[in-house]
Amino acid sequence: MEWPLKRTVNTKNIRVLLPSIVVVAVLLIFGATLSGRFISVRNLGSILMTASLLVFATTAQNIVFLSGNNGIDLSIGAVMSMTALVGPMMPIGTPVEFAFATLTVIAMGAVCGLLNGLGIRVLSIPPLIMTLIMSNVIYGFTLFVTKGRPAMELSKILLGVNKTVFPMIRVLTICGVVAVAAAEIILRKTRAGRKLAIVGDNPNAAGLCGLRVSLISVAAYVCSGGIAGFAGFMLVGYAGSAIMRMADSYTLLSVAAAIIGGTSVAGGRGSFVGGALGSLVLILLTSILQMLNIPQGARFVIQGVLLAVILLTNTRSEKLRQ
Amino acid sequence: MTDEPVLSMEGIVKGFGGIVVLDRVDFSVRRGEVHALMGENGAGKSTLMKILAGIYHKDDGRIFVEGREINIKSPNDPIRAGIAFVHQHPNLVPMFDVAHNIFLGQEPLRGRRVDHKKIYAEAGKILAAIGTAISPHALARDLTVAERQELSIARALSFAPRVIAFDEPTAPLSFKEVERLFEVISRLTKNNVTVIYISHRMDEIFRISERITVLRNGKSITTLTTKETTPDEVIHAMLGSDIAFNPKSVYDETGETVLKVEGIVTKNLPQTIDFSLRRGEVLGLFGLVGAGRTEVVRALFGVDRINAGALEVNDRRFGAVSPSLMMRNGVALVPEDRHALGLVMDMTIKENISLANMNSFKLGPFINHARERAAVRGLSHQLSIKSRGINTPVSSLSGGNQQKVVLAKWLHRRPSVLILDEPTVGVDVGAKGEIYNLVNSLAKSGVSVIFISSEPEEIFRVADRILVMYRRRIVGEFQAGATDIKKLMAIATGVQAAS
Repeated sequence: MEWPLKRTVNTKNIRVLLPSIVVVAVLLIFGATLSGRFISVRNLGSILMTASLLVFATTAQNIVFLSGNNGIDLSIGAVMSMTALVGPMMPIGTPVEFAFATLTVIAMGAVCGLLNGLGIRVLSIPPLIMTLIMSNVIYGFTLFVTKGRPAMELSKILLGVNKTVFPMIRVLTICGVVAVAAAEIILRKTRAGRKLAIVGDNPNAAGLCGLRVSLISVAAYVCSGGIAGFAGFMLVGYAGSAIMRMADSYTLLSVAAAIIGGTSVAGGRGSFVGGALGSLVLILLTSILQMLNIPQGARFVIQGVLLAVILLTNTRSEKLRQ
Repeated sequence: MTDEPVLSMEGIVKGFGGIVVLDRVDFSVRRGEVHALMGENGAGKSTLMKILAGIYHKDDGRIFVEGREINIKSPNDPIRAGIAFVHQHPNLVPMFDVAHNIFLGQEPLRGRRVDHKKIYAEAGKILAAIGTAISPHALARDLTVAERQELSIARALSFAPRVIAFDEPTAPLSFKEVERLFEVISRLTKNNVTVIYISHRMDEIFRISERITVLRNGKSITTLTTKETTPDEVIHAMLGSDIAFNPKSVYDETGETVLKVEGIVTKNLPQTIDFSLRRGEVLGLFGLVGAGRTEVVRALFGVDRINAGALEVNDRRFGAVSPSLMMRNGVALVPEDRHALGLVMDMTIKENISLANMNSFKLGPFINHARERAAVRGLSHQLSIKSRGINTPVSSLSGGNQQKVVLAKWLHRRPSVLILDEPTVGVDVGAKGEIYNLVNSLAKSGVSVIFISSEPEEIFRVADRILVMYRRRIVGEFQAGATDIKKLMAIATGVQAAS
C-alpha cells in the first residue's frame, strides 16, 4: 500500500523538475560542442560556485513566493549589496570574529525582511511596492554607512569560500547544497514548512484552522532577508571586492530561477531543489553567452529574451497540467 | 396591459456535465406587469436568468420578444432586444461618476469625441424618471448600497428596455430602502416596463407582483395570479407535496449549557443575537441565503469582530474571540464554502486533515509522519472517505468526500461544539445520509452541533431545536416536533411573524 503511493508522489515531484533538468543537460551539451574548455573541471567548478550564489538568492525568493499573498521580494539584490559592502568593514581575523560577522550580516538582512513583512502585513502595502521601497532605503543606508567606498581588502577567512575541496567542488558550492537541502527538508518535513505552504495556498482556510497567517507571512520575509544577507557576504568573499549595487541583477535572476524551478507565483507550491536547478540554468546560459564572445549589452538582451521564453513555457505547461 | 407576452421563454433546457438543471422550462411575462420568479435554492431561477442574460447558453428551447424569436449568444443580444438586468452586486466603476457609469460603454458621441454634456443631461433625465436624489456628478464609490442599486437601475433604463429583471434586489437593503425600491418599480410598470422579480421574500412578492411563476428542481411548476393565490399555495408549489418528514427527537433536555450567545452585535449583524446550546443538542439554524446565518457563525468563530455582547463556551466567558481561541476551547467550524474556506485544494487528504491538528503530530520541529498517517487512516476509515489513498489531492475527490475530509479535520480534535454551515451543499444523496448519521451519532456521544441549512427537510431530519433567521435576526424558535415545513418557510420568507 505504502510503496506505490510513495512512487506516484516522487514521479510527480520529478515531473515538476524535469524541464529544468532537461534544459541543464541541453545547455551542457551545447557548451561542450562550442569548446572543450567549457566542460573542463575548472570551468564547471566555477559555474557551480557562481550558481551557488544565485541559489541563496533564489531560496530567499522562493520562501516569499511560497508564502502567497502576491509575495515577492525585490529587495534581495539591495540586501546582498549591503552586506557585501558592510560585512567586510567588521574585523574578521579569527574564526570567532568571522562567525560573529556572519551572524551580524544575517541579522541585518533579517531586519530588512522584518520591515518588509510589517509594511506588507500591518500597513497592507503591496509586496511589490513595499520591497521596492525597501531596496531604495537599503541603498541609502549602505551609502550612508560606507560613504560610497568600495570594499577592497578582505580577510583570508572570507576569501576561503573560493577554496577547492574536491575537484569541481568549492567551499561555497557546499554551502549552497547544504542550504538547499536544509530548506527542502524544512518545507517537506517540518510543521513550520507545512504551515508556510498552507498559508500560501489558501490563507482563508489556514486562518479558520487557527494558523496565525500574518505571523507566518512576516516570518517568511524575515527568513528571506536573512538568507539574502548571508548571500551578500558570500558574494564579496567570492568576488574579492564589492562596490555599490553590485548585486542588483540577483533580484530579477532570483525571481526567474524560482519560476523556472516550478514555483507558483500564486503561492503554496514550489521547491527549493527546483530553484537550485533554475539557478544552474541561468548561470549556464550566461556562461555560454560569454564564451560566444557576445558583448555585454547584447548578452543582456539575449538573456532577457530567453528568460521570457522559458517563463512562457513554464506558465503554459502549468495551465496544461490543470 | 394586454395578455400578449412581451417576453416568453419556451421549453428551455440546460445541463451542466450531465446534470439537467433546467428541464423544459416555460416562462412568459406580459407588458407592464411585475412577475415574480420563485423557487428554493437550486431550483433553477438563476440559471434561467443567466440564459436570458447571455451568460449561459441554452441547450434547447426558444426565446421570443414581442412574438419574434431572438437568438441570445452574448450579453449584448438581450440588450438589443430590450431586456436589461439589475444584478445583486452591480458592476460599477468606482472612480467614475454616476452619469459616466450609466453610459459606460455606450457614451453618446459628438463627432469623434465623447459628448460629456449630453451624458450629464441624459443621466439627469433618467435619474429624475426613477425619482432618485442622487447626483449625476457623485462618484460611484461614495454611494450607499441602495444608491448603487438605483444607479444600476438607471443604467438598465439607459437601454430603454421593455423588460428589467431584478435578482434578489432587496437582500442588502434596509426597510426604508426597500420602500424606495418599490416606488421605483411602480414607476417603471406605469411606463409599461415589465419587471421580472426574483426574491425569496414572500411578503414582498405578495405586495408588488401580479403573477408568480414557481420553479422546482429545474421544472416550471405553475404560474399563479397573485391576487388569487396564497403564500401557503406558493410554498406548497415550491416544495412539492411529496415531501415526507419525520422529525427526529429525544435528547437530554437537562444537559448543561455548553455555549451561550448573549446579545452579540457585529458589523454584519446590526441587531443582537441571543441563543444557547446544550450538551448533545443539535440546533438547526434555518434561513434562506442572505438571512444572516453565516454571519452568526463568523461572529462565533472570531472571524468578524464582536462589537457588543459576549460568548460563553463551557462556562468560560469571552468578549473577543479568534479562531485559534475558539479551537482551544473545543469549538470547530465546517465553513460554508469548502473550496475557498475549508480545504487547501492542491494538498492531499492527509495534509488537509492535519491542517487543524499540526500540534498533535509534533516531533520536535518536525511532523511525526507515522502518527499523522495512522491518525488520518483511522479517520478516513471512520468516515469512509473514498479515495485512492491518503496522499490523493482533495481536488480529485467528489463533493461528499471533500466534505468528509473537512469533517475529519475537525473530528480529530474531539470538539465539544461543532458548527456545520450548509454541510450538504454540493454533496450527493448517499453522502448526505452519511453526514446526517454522523451528526446524530456525534450528538449521542455528547457533542453539541449547530447545523445551518436552507433546506427545511434537512433541518427536520437532524435538529432537536430550530432557530429561524430572517433579515439578520433570529425571528423564530421551535422544538423539532412543534412545527412544520410550511410554517418554517412562512417565517423564513417574512410572510408570518413567529408566534
